[in-house]
Amino acid sequence: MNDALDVVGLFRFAFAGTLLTALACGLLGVHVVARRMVTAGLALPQVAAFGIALGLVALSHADGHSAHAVEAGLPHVVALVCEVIAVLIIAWPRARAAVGQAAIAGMLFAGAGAVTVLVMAHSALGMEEVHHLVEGNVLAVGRADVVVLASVLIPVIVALALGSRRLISCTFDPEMAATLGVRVRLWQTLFYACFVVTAAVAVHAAGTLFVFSFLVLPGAAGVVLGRSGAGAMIVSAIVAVGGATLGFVASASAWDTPTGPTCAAAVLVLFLGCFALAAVRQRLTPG
Amino acid sequence: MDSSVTPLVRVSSASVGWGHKTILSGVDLVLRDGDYLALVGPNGSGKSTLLRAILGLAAPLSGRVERSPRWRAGYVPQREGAAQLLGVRAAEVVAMAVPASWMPMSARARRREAAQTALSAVGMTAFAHHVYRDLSGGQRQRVMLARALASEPTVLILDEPTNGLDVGAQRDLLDLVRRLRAERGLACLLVTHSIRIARTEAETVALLHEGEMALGAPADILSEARLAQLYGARALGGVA
Ligand SMILES: Nc1ncnc2c1ncn2[C@@H]1O[C@H](COP(=O)(O)OP(=O)(O)OP(=O)(O)O)[C@@H](O)[C@H]1O
Ligand SMILES: [Mg+2]
Repeated sequence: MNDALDVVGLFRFAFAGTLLTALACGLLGVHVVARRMVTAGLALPQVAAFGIALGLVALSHADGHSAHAVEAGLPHVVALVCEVIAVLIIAWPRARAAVGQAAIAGMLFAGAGAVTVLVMAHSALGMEEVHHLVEGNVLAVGRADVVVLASVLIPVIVALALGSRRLISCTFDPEMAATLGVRVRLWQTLFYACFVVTAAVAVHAAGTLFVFSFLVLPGAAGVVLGRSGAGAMIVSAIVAVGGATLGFVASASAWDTPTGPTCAAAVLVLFLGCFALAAVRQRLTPG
Repeated sequence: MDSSVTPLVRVSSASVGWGHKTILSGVDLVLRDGDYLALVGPNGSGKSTLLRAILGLAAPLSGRVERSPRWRAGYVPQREGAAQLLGVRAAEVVAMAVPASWMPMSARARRREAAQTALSAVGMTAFAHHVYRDLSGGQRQRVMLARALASEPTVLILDEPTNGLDVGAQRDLLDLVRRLRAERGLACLLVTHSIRIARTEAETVALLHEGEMALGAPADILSEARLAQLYGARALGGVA
Protein backbone atom coordinates (compact mmCIF):
# COMPACT_ATOMS: atom_id res chain seq x y z
CA MET A 1 0.00 0.00 0.00
CA ASN A 2 2.78 2.41 0.97
CA ASP A 3 4.63 1.26 -2.10
CA ALA A 4 1.67 2.18 -4.22
CA LEU A 5 1.44 5.64 -2.67
CA ASP A 6 5.15 6.15 -3.18
CA VAL A 7 4.87 5.25 -6.82
CA VAL A 8 1.95 7.57 -7.32
CA GLY A 9 3.81 10.35 -5.52
CA LEU A 10 6.96 9.80 -7.54
CA PHE A 11 5.16 9.72 -10.86
CA ARG A 12 2.35 12.08 -9.96
CA PHE A 13 2.32 13.83 -13.33
CA ALA A 14 2.32 10.55 -15.19
CA PHE A 15 -0.44 9.26 -12.92
CA ALA A 16 -2.58 12.35 -13.40
CA GLY A 17 -2.10 12.09 -17.17
CA THR A 18 -3.09 8.43 -17.14
CA LEU A 19 -6.24 9.10 -15.15
CA LEU A 20 -7.32 11.99 -17.35
CA THR A 21 -6.74 9.94 -20.49
CA ALA A 22 -8.59 6.95 -19.07
CA LEU A 23 -11.57 9.02 -17.95
CA ALA A 24 -11.94 10.89 -21.26
CA CYS A 25 -11.70 7.64 -23.24
CA GLY A 26 -14.11 5.91 -20.85
CA LEU A 27 -16.80 8.58 -21.20
CA LEU A 28 -16.44 8.60 -24.99
CA GLY A 29 -16.46 4.81 -24.98
CA VAL A 30 -20.10 4.46 -23.95
CA HIS A 31 -21.10 6.25 -27.14
CA VAL A 32 -18.51 4.43 -29.23
CA VAL A 33 -19.83 1.04 -28.11
CA ALA A 34 -23.54 1.94 -28.12
CA ARG A 35 -23.25 3.37 -31.64
CA ARG A 36 -21.48 0.22 -32.85
CA MET A 37 -18.44 2.29 -33.70
CA VAL A 38 -15.87 0.02 -32.11
CA THR A 39 -13.94 -0.32 -35.37
CA ALA A 40 -13.79 3.47 -35.54
CA GLY A 41 -12.50 3.30 -31.96
CA LEU A 42 -9.64 1.19 -33.29
CA ALA A 43 -9.08 3.21 -36.45
CA LEU A 44 -8.88 6.71 -34.99
CA PRO A 45 -6.09 5.99 -32.49
CA GLN A 46 -4.21 4.19 -35.26
CA VAL A 47 -4.64 7.21 -37.53
CA ALA A 48 -3.50 9.44 -34.67
CA ALA A 49 -0.38 7.29 -34.32
CA PHE A 50 0.23 7.64 -38.03
CA GLY A 51 -0.07 11.43 -37.74
CA ILE A 52 2.28 11.50 -34.77
CA ALA A 53 4.77 9.38 -36.68
CA LEU A 54 4.62 11.78 -39.63
CA GLY A 55 5.12 14.70 -37.25
CA LEU A 56 8.11 13.02 -35.61
CA VAL A 57 9.70 12.23 -38.95
CA ALA A 58 9.22 15.83 -40.05
CA LEU A 59 10.86 16.99 -36.82
CA SER A 60 13.80 14.65 -37.26
CA HIS A 61 14.46 16.29 -40.62
CA ALA A 62 14.10 19.80 -39.23
CA ASP A 63 17.16 19.45 -36.98
CA GLY A 64 18.27 22.39 -34.90
CA HIS A 65 15.06 23.79 -33.51
CA SER A 66 13.39 20.44 -33.14
CA ALA A 67 13.08 20.74 -29.37
CA HIS A 68 11.01 23.89 -29.73
CA ALA A 69 8.99 22.32 -32.45
CA VAL A 70 8.15 19.40 -30.16
CA GLU A 71 6.88 21.81 -27.58
CA ALA A 72 4.91 23.56 -30.29
CA GLY A 73 3.20 20.22 -30.70
CA LEU A 74 3.80 19.48 -34.36
CA PRO A 75 2.98 15.76 -33.91
CA HIS A 76 -0.30 16.66 -32.24
CA VAL A 77 -1.23 18.99 -35.04
CA VAL A 78 -0.42 16.47 -37.76
CA ALA A 79 -2.33 13.79 -35.83
CA LEU A 80 -5.34 16.08 -35.55
CA VAL A 81 -5.34 16.84 -39.27
CA CYS A 82 -5.09 13.14 -40.16
CA GLU A 83 -7.90 12.29 -37.77
CA VAL A 84 -10.22 14.96 -39.06
CA ILE A 85 -9.75 13.53 -42.54
CA ALA A 86 -10.35 10.02 -41.19
CA VAL A 87 -13.55 11.08 -39.41
CA LEU A 88 -14.86 12.73 -42.55
CA ILE A 89 -14.23 9.50 -44.47
CA ILE A 90 -15.86 7.39 -41.73
CA ALA A 91 -18.91 9.66 -41.64
CA TRP A 92 -19.18 9.99 -45.43
CA PRO A 93 -22.71 8.75 -46.19
CA ARG A 94 -21.94 7.38 -49.64
CA ALA A 95 -19.04 5.24 -48.46
CA ARG A 96 -21.07 4.10 -45.48
CA ALA A 97 -23.97 3.10 -47.70
CA ALA A 98 -21.64 1.15 -49.98
CA VAL A 99 -19.79 -1.09 -47.53
CA GLY A 100 -20.76 0.04 -44.03
CA GLN A 101 -18.95 2.12 -41.50
CA ALA A 102 -17.08 -0.81 -39.99
CA ALA A 103 -15.41 -1.72 -43.28
CA ILE A 104 -14.32 1.87 -43.88
CA ALA A 105 -12.90 2.11 -40.37
CA GLY A 106 -11.20 -1.27 -40.82
CA MET A 107 -9.57 -0.03 -44.00
CA LEU A 108 -8.27 3.07 -42.20
CA PHE A 109 -7.01 0.92 -39.34
CA ALA A 110 -5.06 -1.38 -41.63
CA GLY A 111 -3.82 1.43 -43.87
CA ALA A 112 -2.69 3.73 -41.07
CA GLY A 113 -0.99 0.87 -39.23
CA ALA A 114 0.89 -0.33 -42.28
CA VAL A 115 1.98 3.10 -43.47
CA THR A 116 3.15 4.07 -39.97
CA VAL A 117 5.52 1.14 -39.86
CA LEU A 118 6.74 1.79 -43.41
CA VAL A 119 7.37 5.47 -42.72
CA MET A 120 9.17 4.78 -39.46
CA ALA A 121 11.26 1.94 -40.88
CA HIS A 122 12.69 4.37 -43.43
CA SER A 123 13.27 7.22 -41.02
CA ALA A 124 16.18 7.91 -38.75
CA LEU A 125 13.92 7.27 -35.77
CA GLY A 126 13.47 3.60 -36.49
CA MET A 127 11.26 0.91 -35.06
CA GLU A 128 11.91 1.86 -31.45
CA GLU A 129 9.62 4.82 -31.97
CA VAL A 130 6.90 2.58 -33.41
CA HIS A 131 7.04 0.60 -30.19
CA HIS A 132 6.56 3.79 -28.24
CA LEU A 133 3.53 4.67 -30.30
CA VAL A 134 1.92 1.32 -29.53
CA GLU A 135 3.01 0.84 -25.95
CA GLY A 136 3.16 4.48 -25.01
CA ASN A 137 5.55 5.84 -22.47
CA VAL A 138 3.27 7.18 -19.82
CA LEU A 139 5.92 7.29 -17.12
CA ALA A 140 7.80 9.89 -19.15
CA VAL A 141 4.84 12.25 -18.91
CA GLY A 142 6.02 15.34 -17.07
CA ARG A 143 4.53 18.59 -15.89
CA ALA A 144 4.43 20.18 -19.36
CA ASP A 145 2.77 17.13 -20.88
CA VAL A 146 0.14 17.06 -18.15
CA VAL A 147 -0.66 20.68 -18.86
CA VAL A 148 -1.26 19.82 -22.53
CA LEU A 149 -3.32 16.75 -21.61
CA ALA A 150 -5.36 18.63 -19.04
CA SER A 151 -6.04 21.57 -21.29
CA VAL A 152 -7.46 19.24 -23.92
CA LEU A 153 -9.02 16.46 -21.86
CA ILE A 154 -10.64 18.42 -19.03
CA PRO A 155 -12.85 20.36 -21.48
CA VAL A 156 -13.66 17.05 -23.19
CA ILE A 157 -14.61 15.42 -19.88
CA VAL A 158 -16.71 18.41 -18.84
CA ALA A 159 -18.48 18.55 -22.21
CA LEU A 160 -19.24 14.81 -22.18
CA ALA A 161 -20.51 14.97 -18.60
CA LEU A 162 -22.61 18.13 -18.92
CA GLY A 163 -23.95 17.19 -22.34
CA SER A 164 -24.55 13.57 -21.43
CA ARG A 165 -28.35 13.74 -21.57
CA ARG A 166 -28.40 15.24 -25.06
CA LEU A 167 -25.56 13.04 -26.29
CA ILE A 168 -27.24 9.91 -25.00
CA SER A 169 -30.48 10.80 -26.72
CA CYS A 170 -28.50 11.34 -29.96
CA THR A 171 -26.75 8.01 -29.47
CA PHE A 172 -29.99 6.22 -28.64
CA ASP A 173 -32.05 7.56 -31.52
CA PRO A 174 -30.74 10.56 -33.48
CA GLU A 175 -33.88 10.90 -35.61
CA MET A 176 -36.13 11.06 -32.62
CA ALA A 177 -33.79 13.53 -30.95
CA ALA A 178 -34.01 15.73 -34.04
CA THR A 179 -37.82 15.70 -34.01
CA LEU A 180 -37.69 16.74 -30.35
CA GLY A 181 -35.70 19.83 -31.20
CA VAL A 182 -32.26 18.56 -30.15
CA ARG A 183 -29.66 20.09 -32.44
CA VAL A 184 -28.33 16.73 -33.54
CA ARG A 185 -25.80 18.10 -36.05
CA LEU A 186 -24.23 20.21 -33.34
CA TRP A 187 -24.07 17.39 -30.81
CA GLN A 188 -22.71 14.90 -33.33
CA THR A 189 -20.02 17.39 -34.29
CA LEU A 190 -19.20 17.89 -30.61
CA PHE A 191 -18.95 14.12 -30.13
CA TYR A 192 -16.62 13.66 -33.10
CA ALA A 193 -14.55 16.67 -32.05
CA CYS A 194 -14.10 15.18 -28.57
CA PHE A 195 -13.23 11.83 -30.13
CA VAL A 196 -10.62 13.34 -32.45
CA VAL A 197 -8.80 15.57 -29.96
CA THR A 198 -8.84 12.88 -27.27
CA ALA A 199 -7.33 10.29 -29.59
CA ALA A 200 -4.64 12.72 -30.75
CA VAL A 201 -3.31 13.70 -27.33
CA ALA A 202 -4.03 10.36 -25.66
CA VAL A 203 -2.12 8.29 -28.21
CA HIS A 204 0.86 10.58 -27.90
CA ALA A 205 0.90 10.18 -24.13
CA ALA A 206 -0.26 6.63 -23.59
CA GLY A 207 0.08 4.72 -26.89
CA THR A 208 -2.46 3.14 -29.17
CA LEU A 209 -2.96 -0.01 -27.11
CA PHE A 210 -3.99 1.99 -24.05
CA VAL A 211 -6.33 4.20 -26.06
CA PHE A 212 -8.01 1.28 -27.91
CA SER A 213 -8.59 -0.54 -24.67
CA PHE A 214 -9.97 2.45 -22.82
CA LEU A 215 -12.17 3.53 -25.72
CA VAL A 216 -13.80 0.11 -25.91
CA LEU A 217 -13.71 -1.85 -22.64
CA PRO A 218 -15.04 0.62 -20.03
CA GLY A 219 -17.78 1.66 -22.45
CA ALA A 220 -18.67 -1.99 -23.05
CA ALA A 221 -18.79 -2.53 -19.27
CA GLY A 222 -21.14 0.46 -19.00
CA VAL A 223 -23.36 -0.89 -21.74
CA VAL A 224 -23.66 -4.38 -20.24
CA LEU A 225 -24.10 -3.22 -16.66
CA GLY A 226 -25.83 0.17 -16.91
CA ARG A 227 -29.62 0.34 -16.70
CA SER A 228 -29.80 3.94 -17.85
CA GLY A 229 -27.75 6.31 -19.94
CA ALA A 230 -26.28 7.96 -16.85
CA GLY A 231 -25.72 4.55 -15.26
CA ALA A 232 -23.71 3.39 -18.25
CA MET A 233 -21.59 6.57 -18.13
CA ILE A 234 -20.91 6.13 -14.40
CA VAL A 235 -19.97 2.44 -14.72
CA SER A 236 -17.70 3.28 -17.62
CA ALA A 237 -16.00 6.10 -15.72
CA ILE A 238 -15.42 3.88 -12.67
CA VAL A 239 -14.02 1.02 -14.75
CA ALA A 240 -11.76 3.39 -16.69
CA VAL A 241 -10.35 5.14 -13.63
CA GLY A 242 -10.15 1.87 -11.69
CA GLY A 243 -8.36 0.05 -14.52
CA ALA A 244 -5.93 2.90 -15.02
CA THR A 245 -5.11 3.09 -11.32
CA LEU A 246 -4.61 -0.65 -10.91
CA GLY A 247 -2.55 -0.92 -14.09
CA PHE A 248 -0.43 2.11 -13.28
CA VAL A 249 0.42 1.03 -9.76
CA ALA A 250 1.05 -2.57 -10.78
CA SER A 251 3.30 -1.60 -13.65
CA ALA A 252 5.30 0.99 -11.78
CA SER A 253 5.74 -0.80 -8.48
CA ALA A 254 5.08 -4.50 -8.25
CA TRP A 255 5.58 -5.84 -11.74
CA ASP A 256 7.81 -3.37 -13.48
CA THR A 257 5.99 -3.88 -16.79
CA PRO A 258 5.23 -1.32 -19.53
CA THR A 259 2.43 0.93 -18.28
CA GLY A 260 0.16 1.06 -21.34
CA PRO A 261 -0.21 -2.71 -21.79
CA THR A 262 -0.54 -3.26 -18.02
CA CYS A 263 -3.37 -0.74 -17.83
CA ALA A 264 -4.99 -2.40 -20.86
CA ALA A 265 -4.79 -5.78 -19.12
CA ALA A 266 -6.22 -4.32 -15.90
CA VAL A 267 -9.17 -2.74 -17.66
CA LEU A 268 -9.81 -6.00 -19.48
CA VAL A 269 -10.01 -7.82 -16.14
CA LEU A 270 -12.45 -5.21 -14.81
CA PHE A 271 -14.56 -5.50 -17.95
CA LEU A 272 -14.74 -9.28 -17.57
CA GLY A 273 -15.77 -8.75 -13.93
CA CYS A 274 -18.62 -6.46 -15.03
CA PHE A 275 -19.67 -8.95 -17.67
CA ALA A 276 -19.82 -11.71 -15.04
CA LEU A 277 -21.76 -9.41 -12.73
CA ALA A 278 -24.30 -8.69 -15.47
CA ALA A 279 -24.71 -12.43 -16.08
CA VAL A 280 -25.28 -13.08 -12.37
CA ARG A 281 -27.81 -10.24 -12.20
CA GLN A 282 -29.63 -11.69 -15.20
CA ARG A 283 -30.00 -15.00 -13.35
CA LEU A 284 -31.19 -13.40 -10.16
CA THR A 285 -33.77 -11.19 -11.87
CA PRO A 286 -37.18 -12.79 -11.44
CA GLY A 287 -39.18 -13.40 -14.60
CA MET B 1 -60.74 25.11 -36.98
CA ASP B 2 -60.12 28.87 -36.90
CA SER B 3 -58.43 29.68 -40.17
CA SER B 4 -56.98 32.96 -38.86
CA VAL B 5 -54.56 30.99 -36.70
CA THR B 6 -51.41 30.04 -38.61
CA PRO B 7 -51.41 26.36 -39.48
CA LEU B 8 -49.11 24.00 -37.62
CA VAL B 9 -47.41 23.13 -40.86
CA ARG B 10 -47.77 24.28 -44.44
CA VAL B 11 -46.20 22.34 -47.28
CA SER B 12 -46.18 24.30 -50.53
CA SER B 13 -45.45 22.80 -53.94
CA ALA B 14 -42.82 20.59 -52.40
CA SER B 15 -41.06 17.65 -53.92
CA VAL B 16 -39.41 15.07 -51.73
CA GLY B 17 -37.07 12.18 -52.37
CA TRP B 18 -33.70 10.64 -51.68
CA GLY B 19 -30.47 12.02 -53.07
CA HIS B 20 -31.43 13.44 -56.44
CA LYS B 21 -34.27 11.00 -56.96
CA THR B 22 -37.70 12.61 -56.68
CA ILE B 23 -40.32 10.35 -55.13
CA LEU B 24 -43.23 12.80 -54.86
CA SER B 25 -43.76 16.20 -56.40
CA GLY B 26 -46.26 19.03 -56.26
CA VAL B 27 -47.24 18.34 -52.67
CA ASP B 28 -49.50 20.96 -51.09
CA LEU B 29 -50.68 20.28 -47.60
CA VAL B 30 -51.85 22.23 -44.58
CA LEU B 31 -52.26 20.83 -41.11
CA ARG B 32 -54.09 22.85 -38.44
CA ASP B 33 -54.80 22.22 -34.78
CA GLY B 34 -57.22 19.36 -34.38
CA ASP B 35 -56.90 18.13 -37.97
CA TYR B 36 -56.88 14.40 -38.57
CA LEU B 37 -55.17 13.45 -41.81
CA ALA B 38 -54.62 9.90 -42.97
CA LEU B 39 -51.83 9.22 -45.44
CA VAL B 40 -52.40 6.14 -47.58
CA GLY B 41 -50.74 4.62 -50.61
CA PRO B 42 -49.01 1.48 -51.80
CA ASN B 43 -45.61 0.36 -50.48
CA GLY B 44 -42.87 2.65 -51.72
CA SER B 45 -45.25 5.45 -52.69
CA GLY B 46 -43.36 7.89 -50.45
CA LYS B 47 -45.42 8.11 -47.27
CA SER B 48 -42.48 7.86 -44.90
CA THR B 49 -40.37 10.09 -47.13
CA LEU B 50 -43.03 12.80 -46.98
CA LEU B 51 -43.23 12.47 -43.19
CA ARG B 52 -39.48 12.99 -42.93
CA ALA B 53 -39.77 16.24 -44.84
CA ILE B 54 -42.71 17.39 -42.74
CA LEU B 55 -40.76 16.58 -39.57
CA GLY B 56 -37.69 18.43 -40.80
CA LEU B 57 -35.53 15.31 -40.80
CA ALA B 58 -34.77 15.94 -44.46
CA ALA B 59 -35.18 19.12 -46.48
CA PRO B 60 -37.60 18.98 -49.42
CA LEU B 61 -35.86 18.78 -52.81
CA SER B 62 -37.83 21.84 -53.84
CA GLY B 63 -40.73 23.87 -52.50
CA ARG B 64 -41.25 24.77 -48.86
CA VAL B 65 -42.19 23.25 -45.53
CA GLU B 66 -43.09 25.89 -42.93
CA ARG B 67 -43.68 24.88 -39.35
CA SER B 68 -45.34 27.21 -36.87
CA PRO B 69 -43.66 28.00 -33.55
CA ARG B 70 -46.38 25.89 -31.95
CA TRP B 71 -45.22 22.85 -33.88
CA ARG B 72 -44.16 20.11 -31.49
CA ALA B 73 -44.27 16.70 -33.05
CA GLY B 74 -44.74 13.44 -31.23
CA TYR B 75 -43.32 11.01 -33.76
CA VAL B 76 -43.70 7.25 -33.90
CA PRO B 77 -41.40 6.01 -36.66
CA GLN B 78 -42.37 3.10 -38.87
CA ARG B 79 -39.48 0.91 -37.87
CA GLU B 80 -36.83 1.34 -35.28
CA GLY B 81 -33.26 1.13 -36.48
CA ALA B 82 -30.80 -1.56 -35.48
CA ALA B 83 -31.44 -3.19 -32.13
CA GLN B 84 -30.32 -1.02 -29.23
CA LEU B 85 -27.22 -1.95 -27.28
CA LEU B 86 -27.73 0.56 -24.50
CA GLY B 87 -29.76 -1.16 -21.78
CA VAL B 88 -32.04 1.75 -21.01
CA ARG B 89 -35.29 1.25 -19.10
CA ALA B 90 -38.61 1.96 -20.80
CA ALA B 91 -39.29 4.87 -18.44
CA GLU B 92 -36.04 6.54 -19.44
CA VAL B 93 -36.71 6.08 -23.14
CA VAL B 94 -39.97 7.93 -22.63
CA ALA B 95 -38.38 10.54 -20.36
CA MET B 96 -35.90 11.44 -23.12
CA ALA B 97 -38.80 13.08 -24.93
CA VAL B 98 -39.97 15.28 -22.07
CA PRO B 99 -39.07 18.86 -23.01
CA ALA B 100 -36.02 20.19 -21.22
CA SER B 101 -36.35 22.78 -18.51
CA TRP B 102 -33.79 25.05 -16.91
CA MET B 103 -34.35 23.85 -13.36
CA PRO B 104 -32.47 20.57 -13.22
CA MET B 105 -33.85 19.29 -9.90
CA SER B 106 -37.53 19.89 -10.48
CA ALA B 107 -37.00 18.81 -14.08
CA ARG B 108 -35.91 15.37 -12.95
CA ALA B 109 -39.06 14.77 -10.96
CA ARG B 110 -41.19 16.27 -13.68
CA ARG B 111 -39.61 14.06 -16.32
CA ARG B 112 -40.24 10.97 -14.25
CA GLU B 113 -43.84 11.94 -13.66
CA ALA B 114 -44.49 12.77 -17.32
CA ALA B 115 -42.96 9.45 -18.34
CA GLN B 116 -45.21 7.57 -15.93
CA THR B 117 -48.29 9.36 -17.18
CA ALA B 118 -47.43 8.60 -20.80
CA LEU B 119 -46.66 4.95 -20.04
CA SER B 120 -49.96 4.54 -18.25
CA ALA B 121 -51.78 6.06 -21.23
CA VAL B 122 -50.51 3.18 -23.37
CA GLY B 123 -51.02 0.53 -20.69
CA MET B 124 -47.31 0.00 -20.06
CA THR B 125 -47.02 1.08 -16.42
CA ALA B 126 -46.03 -2.42 -15.37
CA PHE B 127 -43.09 -2.33 -17.76
CA ALA B 128 -41.66 1.06 -16.78
CA HIS B 129 -38.58 -0.52 -15.23
CA HIS B 130 -38.02 -3.17 -17.86
CA VAL B 131 -35.09 -2.75 -20.19
CA TYR B 132 -36.43 -1.38 -23.47
CA ARG B 133 -34.39 -3.60 -25.80
CA ASP B 134 -35.71 -6.72 -24.01
CA LEU B 135 -39.39 -5.90 -24.65
CA SER B 136 -41.46 -7.52 -27.37
CA GLY B 137 -41.98 -5.73 -30.68
CA GLY B 138 -45.50 -4.62 -29.83
CA GLN B 139 -44.46 -3.50 -26.36
CA ARG B 140 -41.65 -1.46 -27.85
CA GLN B 141 -44.14 0.10 -30.25
CA ARG B 142 -46.28 1.12 -27.28
CA VAL B 143 -43.24 2.64 -25.56
CA MET B 144 -42.57 4.60 -28.76
CA LEU B 145 -46.12 5.86 -28.61
CA ALA B 146 -45.67 6.83 -24.96
CA ARG B 147 -42.53 8.69 -25.93
CA ALA B 148 -44.45 10.59 -28.59
CA LEU B 149 -47.07 11.54 -25.99
CA ALA B 150 -44.46 12.59 -23.44
CA SER B 151 -43.05 15.20 -25.79
CA GLU B 152 -46.14 17.34 -25.06
CA PRO B 153 -46.94 17.39 -28.76
CA THR B 154 -49.25 19.66 -30.66
CA VAL B 155 -49.28 17.12 -33.47
CA LEU B 156 -48.91 13.36 -33.53
CA ILE B 157 -47.07 11.93 -36.51
CA LEU B 158 -47.71 8.21 -36.59
CA ASP B 159 -46.13 6.03 -39.26
CA GLU B 160 -48.11 2.79 -39.28
CA PRO B 161 -48.40 2.86 -35.50
CA THR B 162 -50.69 -0.15 -35.34
CA ASN B 163 -47.96 -2.29 -36.86
CA GLY B 164 -47.26 -5.16 -34.51
CA LEU B 165 -49.97 -4.19 -32.04
CA ASP B 166 -52.55 -6.73 -30.91
CA VAL B 167 -56.22 -6.01 -31.62
CA GLY B 168 -56.84 -4.53 -28.18
CA ALA B 169 -53.82 -2.26 -28.37
CA GLN B 170 -54.84 -1.11 -31.87
CA ARG B 171 -58.27 -0.13 -30.63
CA ASP B 172 -56.77 1.56 -27.54
CA LEU B 173 -54.40 3.52 -29.77
CA LEU B 174 -57.18 4.80 -32.00
CA ASP B 175 -59.31 5.65 -28.97
CA LEU B 176 -56.41 7.49 -27.38
CA VAL B 177 -55.80 9.61 -30.48
CA ARG B 178 -59.50 10.43 -30.66
CA ARG B 179 -59.53 11.44 -26.99
CA LEU B 180 -56.38 13.59 -27.25
CA ARG B 181 -57.90 15.37 -30.21
CA ALA B 182 -61.09 16.07 -28.30
CA GLU B 183 -59.37 17.10 -25.07
CA ARG B 184 -56.28 18.96 -26.25
CA GLY B 185 -57.03 19.77 -29.87
CA LEU B 186 -54.09 17.66 -30.97
CA ALA B 187 -53.59 17.31 -34.69
CA CYS B 188 -52.83 13.88 -36.06
CA LEU B 189 -51.09 12.71 -39.21
CA LEU B 190 -51.51 8.98 -39.52
CA VAL B 191 -49.91 6.70 -42.08
CA THR B 192 -51.91 3.54 -42.43
CA HIS B 193 -52.44 0.63 -44.79
CA SER B 194 -55.89 0.06 -43.37
CA ILE B 195 -58.51 1.59 -45.64
CA ARG B 196 -61.02 0.96 -42.90
CA ILE B 197 -59.08 3.01 -40.33
CA ALA B 198 -58.50 5.82 -42.85
CA ARG B 199 -62.23 5.90 -43.60
CA THR B 200 -63.52 5.79 -40.05
CA GLU B 201 -60.93 7.83 -38.16
CA ALA B 202 -59.64 10.57 -40.42
CA GLU B 203 -61.46 13.65 -41.65
CA THR B 204 -59.09 14.09 -44.58
CA VAL B 205 -57.20 11.52 -46.63
CA ALA B 206 -54.07 12.03 -48.71
CA LEU B 207 -53.52 9.31 -51.25
CA LEU B 208 -50.03 8.92 -52.68
CA HIS B 209 -49.71 7.22 -56.02
CA GLU B 210 -47.19 7.40 -58.85
CA GLY B 211 -45.39 10.44 -57.54
CA GLU B 212 -48.46 12.52 -56.86
CA MET B 213 -50.77 13.26 -53.99
CA ALA B 214 -54.55 13.45 -54.05
CA LEU B 215 -56.17 15.13 -51.07
CA GLY B 216 -59.80 15.16 -50.00
CA ALA B 217 -62.60 13.68 -47.93
CA PRO B 218 -62.26 9.94 -47.23
CA ALA B 219 -65.37 9.03 -49.22
CA ASP B 220 -64.07 10.81 -52.34
CA ILE B 221 -60.45 9.77 -52.17
CA LEU B 222 -61.09 6.19 -51.12
CA SER B 223 -63.79 5.45 -53.64
CA GLU B 224 -64.21 1.82 -54.67
CA ALA B 225 -63.22 2.59 -58.24
CA ARG B 226 -59.98 4.26 -57.21
CA LEU B 227 -59.02 1.54 -54.77
CA ALA B 228 -59.70 -1.14 -57.34
CA GLN B 229 -57.46 0.69 -59.78
CA LEU B 230 -54.76 1.09 -57.13
CA TYR B 231 -54.64 -2.23 -55.38
CA GLY B 232 -56.43 -4.48 -57.85
CA ALA B 233 -60.09 -5.41 -57.58
CA ARG B 234 -59.51 -8.76 -55.95
CA ALA B 235 -57.48 -7.50 -53.01
CA LEU B 236 -60.18 -5.11 -51.96
CA GLY B 237 -62.63 -7.45 -50.31
CA GLY B 238 -60.10 -8.20 -47.57
CA VAL B 239 -58.92 -4.75 -46.62
CA ALA B 240 -61.83 -2.48 -47.27
N1 LIG C 1 -32.97 5.28 -47.07
C1 LIG C 1 -33.34 5.37 -48.35
N2 LIG C 1 -32.43 5.64 -49.30
C2 LIG C 1 -32.78 5.75 -50.59
N3 LIG C 1 -34.04 5.60 -51.05
C3 LIG C 1 -35.00 5.32 -50.15
C4 LIG C 1 -34.70 5.19 -48.77
N4 LIG C 1 -35.86 4.92 -48.12
C5 LIG C 1 -36.81 4.86 -49.06
N5 LIG C 1 -36.31 5.11 -50.28
C6 LIG C 1 -37.05 5.12 -51.54
O1 LIG C 1 -38.10 6.07 -51.46
C7 LIG C 1 -39.31 5.54 -51.99
C8 LIG C 1 -40.41 5.77 -51.02
O2 LIG C 1 -40.12 5.12 -49.81
P1 LIG C 1 -41.00 5.31 -48.52
O3 LIG C 1 -40.30 4.63 -47.41
O4 LIG C 1 -41.33 6.74 -48.35
O5 LIG C 1 -42.32 4.51 -48.94
P2 LIG C 1 -43.61 4.25 -48.07
O6 LIG C 1 -44.76 4.82 -48.82
O7 LIG C 1 -43.42 4.70 -46.67
O8 LIG C 1 -43.69 2.66 -48.16
P3 LIG C 1 -44.14 1.57 -47.05
O9 LIG C 1 -45.61 1.42 -47.18
O10 LIG C 1 -43.45 0.34 -47.49
O11 LIG C 1 -43.70 2.06 -45.73
C9 LIG C 1 -39.06 4.07 -52.29
O12 LIG C 1 -39.05 3.91 -53.68
C10 LIG C 1 -37.70 3.77 -51.74
O13 LIG C 1 -36.98 3.01 -52.68
MG1 LIG D 1 -43.21 3.80 -44.88
